Amino acid sequence: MKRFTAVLPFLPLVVLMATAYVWPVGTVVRGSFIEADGTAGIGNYRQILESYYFRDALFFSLRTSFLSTFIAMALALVMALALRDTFPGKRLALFMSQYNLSVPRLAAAMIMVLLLSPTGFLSSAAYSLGLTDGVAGFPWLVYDAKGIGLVITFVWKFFPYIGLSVLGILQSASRELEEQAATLGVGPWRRFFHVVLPTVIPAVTVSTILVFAASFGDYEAPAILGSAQRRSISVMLYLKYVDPDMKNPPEAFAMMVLSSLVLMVLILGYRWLTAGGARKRGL
Amino acid sequence: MKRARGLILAVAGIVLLFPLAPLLLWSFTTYWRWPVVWPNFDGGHWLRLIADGRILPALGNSLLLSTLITCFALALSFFPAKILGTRNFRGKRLLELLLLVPAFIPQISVVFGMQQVFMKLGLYSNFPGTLTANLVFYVPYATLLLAAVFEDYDIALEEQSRTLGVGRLKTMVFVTLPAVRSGIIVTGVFCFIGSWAVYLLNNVVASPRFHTLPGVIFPLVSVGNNSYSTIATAIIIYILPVLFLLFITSKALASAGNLTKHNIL
Repeated sequence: MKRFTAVLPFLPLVVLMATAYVWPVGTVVRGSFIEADGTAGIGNYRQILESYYFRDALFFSLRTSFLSTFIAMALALVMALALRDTFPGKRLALFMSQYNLSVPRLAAAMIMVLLLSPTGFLSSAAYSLGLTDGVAGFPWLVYDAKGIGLVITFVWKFFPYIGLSVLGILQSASRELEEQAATLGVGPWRRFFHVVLPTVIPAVTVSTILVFAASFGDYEAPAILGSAQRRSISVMLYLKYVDPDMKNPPEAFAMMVLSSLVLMVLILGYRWLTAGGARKRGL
Repeated sequence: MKRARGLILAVAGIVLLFPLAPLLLWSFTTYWRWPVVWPNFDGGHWLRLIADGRILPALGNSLLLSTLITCFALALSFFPAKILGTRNFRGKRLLELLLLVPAFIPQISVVFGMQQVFMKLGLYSNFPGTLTANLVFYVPYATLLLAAVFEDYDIALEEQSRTLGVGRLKTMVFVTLPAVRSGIIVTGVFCFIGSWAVYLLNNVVASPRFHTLPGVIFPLVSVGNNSYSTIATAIIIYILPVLFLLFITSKALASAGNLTKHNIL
């Protein structure tokens, strides 16, 4: 009886997830093994492993999200270090550094188009300052094959999010270690790399992973400011399932499964690495 | 140190706020094209966009959907979160890991499977289905956030209240809820903000006649030839409600430190 009352609150959650998440995931996985002639097999997987577009999109998304997460992490650290003490105006500074948590990625991507496109605000400003001699003189920062606009959007959107986590850690962790290191004559840079970073990195593993996964799986931002030559994985998957010219649902399913697996392996690997680091330091 | 902080905060402030400048300028100007930097004033886009008749109903739909998602997510996650946060049992770490899965796996990999299953269940292309589809992502998320809140909660308070003869419901209303109030607010705000941004999921699962704000705004950029002024105005309408929500709850958010400490936010 006691067992039952402990399990009961989980019931709606379990029913919801089983029918509306696990079942759909199963549908996708099952669909990925159904080949063009209706038989079951791994033909779709063999096909997509040879597909240049799949590899290119996967690599492009991994690179974009790795860069975004790394830069966001670095900025978050700097920001959290600047915000951790109490000072006049801290509440305002905190709000300013958090407000774009509320800006949806779709809006963030559109804001970046208005700001960075060759006919956008920065281009106009550069021209009137005499820095460029026309629309063509401004670098392609959106719709570009390198994904610069995507990285800028993700960093802008996500660094406050990691920053909030880092700030939480820095404010709750005692400063004793840092102070001891300072007394022993350890300089600020070495203190940062040998004391602050090892405390912060394992503690923000989950938010780092969430940001990495969110940039990897995001559809809206690359759909708005991505390039037509190099598609991000989610845009490619969408087209593969929906677009009349590219449509091939079984292959799309196989790509969905494979790209998710790649992401899961990376996430678990990273988690294992940071957890190992934390264990070694006895944290 | 002080000067470094001032410098960092100033640069961060500019980087964070600067992208909003063209947004505000553009939405109140007309015929503002490359390479003009300073425009003339015109509020016409606001009137035209509102008169267009799609934005306001979509705003209403978004408010309704996000509010319902938030309420359901909080209601369904409250008791599981309380157990997760206050008790220890075998398989707890695994359960927490499983709850993170919907946040990790790209939505694009799941939505078309959801579309197929929802068609079978009669949940495709209608409001209950749309709500359910969103809850799949926000109930586990809310459970994890609230569980972190409950880890700081002293369950002895409840036992004391019960010992003193206070009923279950009264204990819940007067003891439990006030103790975790700011955590609930933060969780609710994050659910609301998150669901406010949902485009892909609603695009695939919801009825084509049910438009939320992102559903109306996305095509403004990707399809057709809309002026930057129209786009800028639409974005402002889109982000103002969530910005306002974040602003009025910033005090509770400031105490989100005890959420982040638990490594979840």
